Amino acid sequence: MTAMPNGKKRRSGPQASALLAALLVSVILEIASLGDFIDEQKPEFAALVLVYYAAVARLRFSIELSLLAGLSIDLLQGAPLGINALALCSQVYLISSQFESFRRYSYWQQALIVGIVNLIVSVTCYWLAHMLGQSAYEANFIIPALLLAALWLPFRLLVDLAVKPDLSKEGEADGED
Amino acid sequence: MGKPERGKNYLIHIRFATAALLCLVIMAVDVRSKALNDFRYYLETALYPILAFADSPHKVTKYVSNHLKSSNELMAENERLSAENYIQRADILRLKSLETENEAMRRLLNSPVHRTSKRLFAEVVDVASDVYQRRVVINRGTGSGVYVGMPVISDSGLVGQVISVNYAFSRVLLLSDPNSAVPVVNDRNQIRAIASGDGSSDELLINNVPRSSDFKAGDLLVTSGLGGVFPEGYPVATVTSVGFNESQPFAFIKAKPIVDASKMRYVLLLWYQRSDYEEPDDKVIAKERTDGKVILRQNRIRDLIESMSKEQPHMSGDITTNGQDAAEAAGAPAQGQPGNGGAQ
Repeated sequence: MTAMPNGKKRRSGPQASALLAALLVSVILEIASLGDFIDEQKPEFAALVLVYYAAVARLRFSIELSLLAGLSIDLLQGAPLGINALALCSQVYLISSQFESFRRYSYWQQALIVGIVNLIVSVTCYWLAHMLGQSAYEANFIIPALLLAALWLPFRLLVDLAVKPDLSKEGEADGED
Repeated sequence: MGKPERGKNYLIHIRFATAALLCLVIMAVDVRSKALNDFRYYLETALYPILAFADSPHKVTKYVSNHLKSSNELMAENERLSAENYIQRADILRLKSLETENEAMRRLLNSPVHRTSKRLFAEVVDVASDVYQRRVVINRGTGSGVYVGMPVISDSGLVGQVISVNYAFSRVLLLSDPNSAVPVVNDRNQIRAIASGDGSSDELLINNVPRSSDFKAGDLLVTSGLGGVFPEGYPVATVTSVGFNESQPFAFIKAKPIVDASKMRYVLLLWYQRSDYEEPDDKVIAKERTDGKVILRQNRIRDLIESMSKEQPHMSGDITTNGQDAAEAAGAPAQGQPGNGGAQ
């Protein structure tokens, strides 16, 4: 439930349903082949949805949902089980816990945070995958992070229209449930 | 921030720590042991419809492009394929006679006969794999008899080997994957080497080759058959650059895979076992040499020993030993009695 300005409670069910549908689409986009060039630069679409889910819509169970989405991506991509799950959980956790007023920032600030956090987490996970002996040496991090930051604005505008999050109050933050 | 908020914030740290720890444990178990293999098998099989759905844009594009071709284009394509088919059928006629001849020659030499192994046609499911790996998904799994380690080829050369199998699909480890290494041989001078992937899609590294080895740009590398995973003779890569450093004992050799995995749509899976190349039960055993030269040589040695034993009776012990050796070399039964040779 999300608190409305007039004191009424607005159900978070439809928001969550819409975001879960968006998450499914983002997972399919992550595994779909969009051409060699795009595949190499493809951003983490699921991270966009999960960051929105956790830091803007402030819905519950964002860490657990990130874990499940990441494990699904691992299974679909044939990656070591847990690597994408860790990447998604870390991004959601960092933004939810370190930027508590994230949704009140201007859009460009939000995009900057999303891009930087994605870059840091991607490098960390690459380092982890490299330690496991499962990674190629030529991994590209900068362009996917920049693309993720660039996609934040259109994504945010589009999803705001669909789920209409209540930004007037802090409501039930994910980390505070 | 009040007390309740601090408590709630504390909770998210706990939740993340639990999730991160779980991820790390799962990752370690998945990579270092086979404990999660069954878990992966069933879950990946259950998720196959999502992979098929993700591949659907390509299927639709292919369907549409096939149906939008004009009749002139189709006629031209049909003509080209008919001509190609005709030439290949003619080549196959010659290939069959060559195979028969090769088999006969190998039997005469008591060499293992190469037998044609069973093959399976598969289609590449065009989905993106993990960015840190070079793998492709094919639409055949254990339901079709596919097993881990199966060699995969295309119409132009070696693609890789099956690395994981599910009921409906499999993943193929490409040559360019950092975990891939293929024993190869230079087609020009039969020098053996190992071609390893480095993660780059169009580059292989030929490691541990001495600087003095005869490798040149343009050399064709084919599978050597060593290691027992890949059958010999399939093209793997073309050498693109050869260099060396005075301070290093080995040359820096790079090669480009023959098969472009990004454009590949169909592959063939081979049932290859070393037993396919083992000697057949009905092998021809070479005759023992019984020509005149051998018999004459044996007789000459025997005569020499006898003559020496008559001339020098005091050296009978030594001669006996030599006589035993000579007799054994000549095919006589072992002589256990002392003085049986030279003492006579």
